[in-house]
Amino acid sequence: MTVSLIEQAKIQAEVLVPLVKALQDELGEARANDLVRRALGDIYRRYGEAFRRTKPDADVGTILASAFKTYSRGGALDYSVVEQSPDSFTIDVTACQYATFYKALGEPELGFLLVCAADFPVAEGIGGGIELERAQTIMQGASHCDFRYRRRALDRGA
Amino acid sequence: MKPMTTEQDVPISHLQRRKIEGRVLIPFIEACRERFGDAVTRDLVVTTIRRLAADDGERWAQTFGPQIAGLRKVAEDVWAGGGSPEVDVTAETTDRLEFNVTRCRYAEFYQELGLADLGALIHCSRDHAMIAGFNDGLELVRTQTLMDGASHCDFRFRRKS
Repeated sequence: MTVSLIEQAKIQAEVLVPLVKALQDELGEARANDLVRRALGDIYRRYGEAFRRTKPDADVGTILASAFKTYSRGGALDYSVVEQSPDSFTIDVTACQYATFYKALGEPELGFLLVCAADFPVAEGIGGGIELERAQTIMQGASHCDFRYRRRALDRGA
Repeated sequence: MKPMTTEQDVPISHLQRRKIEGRVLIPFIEACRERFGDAVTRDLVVTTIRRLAADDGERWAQTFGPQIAGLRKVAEDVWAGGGSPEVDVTAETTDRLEFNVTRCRYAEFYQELGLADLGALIHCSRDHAMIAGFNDGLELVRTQTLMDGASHCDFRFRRKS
C-alpha cells in the first residue's frame, strides 16, 4: 500500500510552506508565487503525463474519474459527480481535507498555490485537449469547488 | 511552526518521508537556482532546512531522551529504520558516540538522480542543526560523507568541551 496523496501533501507542506514564505520575504509575494507556480507547474505537468501513460486510451470522463479516486484516498475529498461522459467530467467537491489542513495552519493562500493550482498543469499533462474550468474552491472560502473538465471541441473525434 | 503531521493511513519510514519531500523540493530548488544562482538559493534552503532539523532534534530528544543513548536510538531506529543506512558503532560512552555509515539509501536516492550536491544540502546539512535541537551540549564532527563520494560517513558526536 502506498502513501496516500493527502499524506504526501502534508509531508511536502512541512518543508514547502516555510520555504515559500522565506522566498516571499525575499522577493515579495507576487514574484515568489510566480516562481513557485512555474517550478511546481513543471512537476505536476509531468505527473499528468505519467498518469496518461498508465491509461493511454481512456476518455475524459474515465481518466478523471480515476484521478479523483487517487486524490480522495484516505478520505481526503467528498464529491458528487454532476456529469461524466467521454468528453466531460463535472464534479462538485463538497469537503476537502487539503483545505482543512491549510486552513488549520492559517495558510489557505499557500494551500491554493501549492495544492489547488496544481490541477491545471495536471490537466495539461493528461493532454488530449482536456481543459479545466473552475470558478471557485473551498480553499478560497467557497462552499464547494466546481471542477468542469471538458475536451475542446477541436480535439473531439480525433 | 507546529508539527503538521497527523494520523497516517500507513506507517511512513524516515526514508520514505525524505523521498516524498524530495519530489517537490528538488525541482523547487532547481528553479530557484536557475533564477537566483547557487549562493542565494543555498542560503534560503539551508536556513529553512536547519530550522526543521532543529525541530526534529527537539522532538527526538523528547521521544528517546536527550543523551548519547537516545542519540544512538535516533541513528539506529529512525535513520536506519526500514533498512536505510547501515550504522557501524565504533565507540559509545556517556560523552561520545562514534559510528560509521557504510551504506546510505538517502545518498543513493540523490546519486541516482545525479543530484548529490542537492542531497548534501537537503539531507546531510540537517545533522548539525538536528544535534543543536537535540541537546545543545553535544556537537557533531564529520569529515566525510557517502553523499560526497567517500567510502563511509564518519559521524563523531561528542560533548562540547
